[in-house]
Amino acid sequence: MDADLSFLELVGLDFSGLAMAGANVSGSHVRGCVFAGCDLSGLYVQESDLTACDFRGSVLEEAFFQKTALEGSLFHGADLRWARFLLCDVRRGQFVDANMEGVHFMDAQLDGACFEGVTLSDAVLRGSSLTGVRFVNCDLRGVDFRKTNFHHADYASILAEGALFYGKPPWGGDVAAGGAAEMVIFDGE
Amino acid sequence: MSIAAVKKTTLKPKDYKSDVSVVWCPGCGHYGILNAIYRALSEAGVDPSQLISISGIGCSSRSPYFINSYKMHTLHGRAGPVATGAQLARPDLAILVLGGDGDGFSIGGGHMPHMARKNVDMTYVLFDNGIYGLTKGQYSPTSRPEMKAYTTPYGGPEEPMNPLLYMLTYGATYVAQAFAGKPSVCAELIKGGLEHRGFSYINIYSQCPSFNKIDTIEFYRDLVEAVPKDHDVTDLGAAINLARQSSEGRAPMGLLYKADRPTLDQRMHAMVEGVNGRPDYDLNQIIDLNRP
Ligand SMILES: Cc1ncc(C[n+]2csc(CCOP(=O)(O)OP(=O)(O)O)c2C)c(N)n1
Repeated sequence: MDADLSFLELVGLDFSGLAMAGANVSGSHVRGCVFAGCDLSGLYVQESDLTACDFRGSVLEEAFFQKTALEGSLFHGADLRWARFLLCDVRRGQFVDANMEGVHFMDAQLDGACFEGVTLSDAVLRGSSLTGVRFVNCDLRGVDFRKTNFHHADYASILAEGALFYGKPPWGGDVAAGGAAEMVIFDGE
Repeated sequence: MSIAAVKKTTLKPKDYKSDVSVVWCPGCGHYGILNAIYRALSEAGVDPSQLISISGIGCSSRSPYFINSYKMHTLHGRAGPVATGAQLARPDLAILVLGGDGDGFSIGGGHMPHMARKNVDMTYVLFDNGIYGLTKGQYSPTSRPEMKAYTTPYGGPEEPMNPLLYMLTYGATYVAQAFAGKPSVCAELIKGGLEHRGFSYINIYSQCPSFNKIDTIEFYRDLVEAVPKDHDVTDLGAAINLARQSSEGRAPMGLLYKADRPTLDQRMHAMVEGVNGRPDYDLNQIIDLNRP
């Protein structure tokens, strides 16, 4: 069976390069740990504190995080395909050069996070708080912005064709080289 | 449920995920149980083409949609009888029943003892969150009296039932318990249930942060106590003593009981053979033969 790291105090440890696919972290304190270059695919995390962790270059494909603090964590160059962050605090998270295909942030706090240059196409950001997020040079095609406060983020040089949102988009006509962003009519929810 | 008849595979947990996106509330413990089910299926090497997951109605009863298997989403409380029929008709398949405490012990409560006493060869994973989640928060048979819900604004006037004691008393041949904060333990116990020939019942506590505000992951962490290492899982009396602790504020986590007894399909098969019947008998022909 996969590693069980539940209900543990693991503050400030260095796990760099370890194979920890499918590990389970429930109710643990894992602040300031280093997971650089780790295989964490299928990781399952709930109700844990992973504030300021370093996930640079790690594989987090299909990882699942819920009700977890990840404030200030580093995800540069990480493989986050199909990863899910539900009700997580990812304020000031750093995602530059990460592979974020199909990533899912539901009701997450992303204030101050940086996604500069990242392809986020078809990502779900639904219900998330996006104050001060840097989406500069991002591919935001098909991104689900519904129920977010997306007017308070930075959208210089983005693609946003097919993005989903309520009301008017915060990006102007100069944006979306690939075509105008779509206006979604209230879908009855 | 025994997977002896099922082809062995070497699939990864993620290969048991279906294409349907899982939609439970953020924070729900059911995610942990589903994760454990994927791991258990992978560890046990169950071939998805020989697996049926069957459920009633509830948040937990949506699970079959998220699993790469054949599936039946049946009526509220009726997963058990449907699964019993499926097992008798197709003893070559692995049967996984998934559902909640409301589905299993309220509306479906009448079926539970019969699956146990008949020793139907299947694995029943009960997602016990002490509340009706799907219908947005009503008191359930496993709710604690302290829980305030829409139907019990002042708390509950009754004591919760004890699913483990119930299952042991009615003759289930594999009885285990865990909680969603320990998906690895859940996976191990579900795997054991899959490999067991007979009726396997695994009770898994699951937090419902949306509607059950008192049974948090910390509450369950402090409630459960690992089954002692020297516990004899073949000793029904010892298992019953452990199960009784749940009513005293401590809940055993692990495998409580395991027994070898003929299953319903084995006994039916023997009975058919005993009267020189064919194992592939056609029920309609038998009815026709016996018309007055
Ligand atoms: C015949 C019938 N009666 C009532 C309902 C309403 N109903 C749907 S789900 C449910 C209870 C679900 O609770 P549980 O089984 O504990 O599952 P959970 O949603 O908590 O996972 C009820 C009462 C129904 N669908 N059908």
